[in-house]
Amino acid sequence: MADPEIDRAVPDHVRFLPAEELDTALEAVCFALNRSLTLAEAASVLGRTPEDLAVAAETLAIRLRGRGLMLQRHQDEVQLVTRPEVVWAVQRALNPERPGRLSRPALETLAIVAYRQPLTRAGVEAIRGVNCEAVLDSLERRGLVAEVGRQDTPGHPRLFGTTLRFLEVVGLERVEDLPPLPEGTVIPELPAERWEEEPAPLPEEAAT
Amino acid sequence: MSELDPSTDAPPPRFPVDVPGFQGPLEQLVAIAHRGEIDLAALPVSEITACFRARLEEADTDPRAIADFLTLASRLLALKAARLLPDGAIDAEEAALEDPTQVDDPGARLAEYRLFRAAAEALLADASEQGARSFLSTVCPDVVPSERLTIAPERLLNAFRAVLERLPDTDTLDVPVTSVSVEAKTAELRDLLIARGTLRFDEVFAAARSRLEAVAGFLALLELIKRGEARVDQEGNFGEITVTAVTADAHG
Repeated sequence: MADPEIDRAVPDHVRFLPAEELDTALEAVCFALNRSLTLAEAASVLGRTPEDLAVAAETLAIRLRGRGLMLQRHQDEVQLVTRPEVVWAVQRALNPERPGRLSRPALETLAIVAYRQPLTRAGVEAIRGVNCEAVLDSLERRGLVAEVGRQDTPGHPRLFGTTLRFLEVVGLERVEDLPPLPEGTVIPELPAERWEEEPAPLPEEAAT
Repeated sequence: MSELDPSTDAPPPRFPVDVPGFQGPLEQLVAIAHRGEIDLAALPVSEITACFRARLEEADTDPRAIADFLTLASRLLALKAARLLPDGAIDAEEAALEDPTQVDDPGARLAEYRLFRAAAEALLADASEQGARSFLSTVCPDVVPSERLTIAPERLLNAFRAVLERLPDTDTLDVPVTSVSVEAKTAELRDLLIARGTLRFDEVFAAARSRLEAVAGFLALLELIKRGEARVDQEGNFGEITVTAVTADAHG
């Protein structure tokens, strides 16, 4: 039954707008909601299809280039965030609390999940050569990785992928914008001072 | 350092190894073998497995530990086999270049591992050191006036959690007959603020004898912030959170 008191119908002209012209409405909704929303949710708000909203999101992302904000897109979720190029200004304004630094194993594991997703814990361990259960747990608790499905093999192990929070942390619009990994190229050893000394892998990862 | 930092309170190694050429946890041995930093040809893998079998016979061992040991030992064997077999004479990195799709080849895995290590450095190290690179808008000004809450709401929440953890939970067997009124708590806190000017966050809850009372106190604090009668500040990260009375003059 319609609510007689409130007229919140989608204006008629919006029904016939080309999808790419929905970008301003999507921008306003993202700004006002101040959180991530799915394309289906946005479609419901704007009275259009999720496919139309996917087009609108692409348009909005392009139109925001060169501005202080950008549209992050992860699977079927979008959110309006500040651009990494101006993070210095936002940090000065907000003085945000810095989360605990990630350990080196956590950074490595996160990079592996980011580039090879979706993959299982065994997939990560095959590359890192050590048990990664604790470090994956820790990344999951921090919302940087999440289960994205189950592998269709015996035991149906969990498949991990990165999250919208991961995009926030690294300041990327989409996972596809990760800098390309030169396949098979051997990258020289990293400067030792960044990673400090080599710790024993398992105790490090267990101490979460 | 972060909470992930292992430098303190590391648990004892699950699989200690003590063979000629290496003493330490098995995980570390596999890791340095991965990086080609130890001569596997000279390393007696059979001694390592024999030690573990002896420990198995001594005590009940968690099946997960056995599985983990088998995983590690098989990796070590694969690495050693790659080193000893004729093809293994090819430098592991060259092998990876020749056929990067051969991920089952330890050489290719080593190369892949180095790639990710470099990617972690390039992509994530700054974010890990400096915090997130992009932000959602944070505080809705209609809900909490930002000038009266100069710290992140999460920080206030964490401080309150610490207060809750100190106080005993309401005994679930009793039916508490006492009720706590937020209004009364608000009046109480207002009087306290007027008398003292500024309070430490924990002083707001000094009189609370139960979590219920602390919750009412916290709601009272939020109420005073909302009404513009109190301000919450913190001097830098990890500093003391303080609650200050906002007088009519200062507020105007």
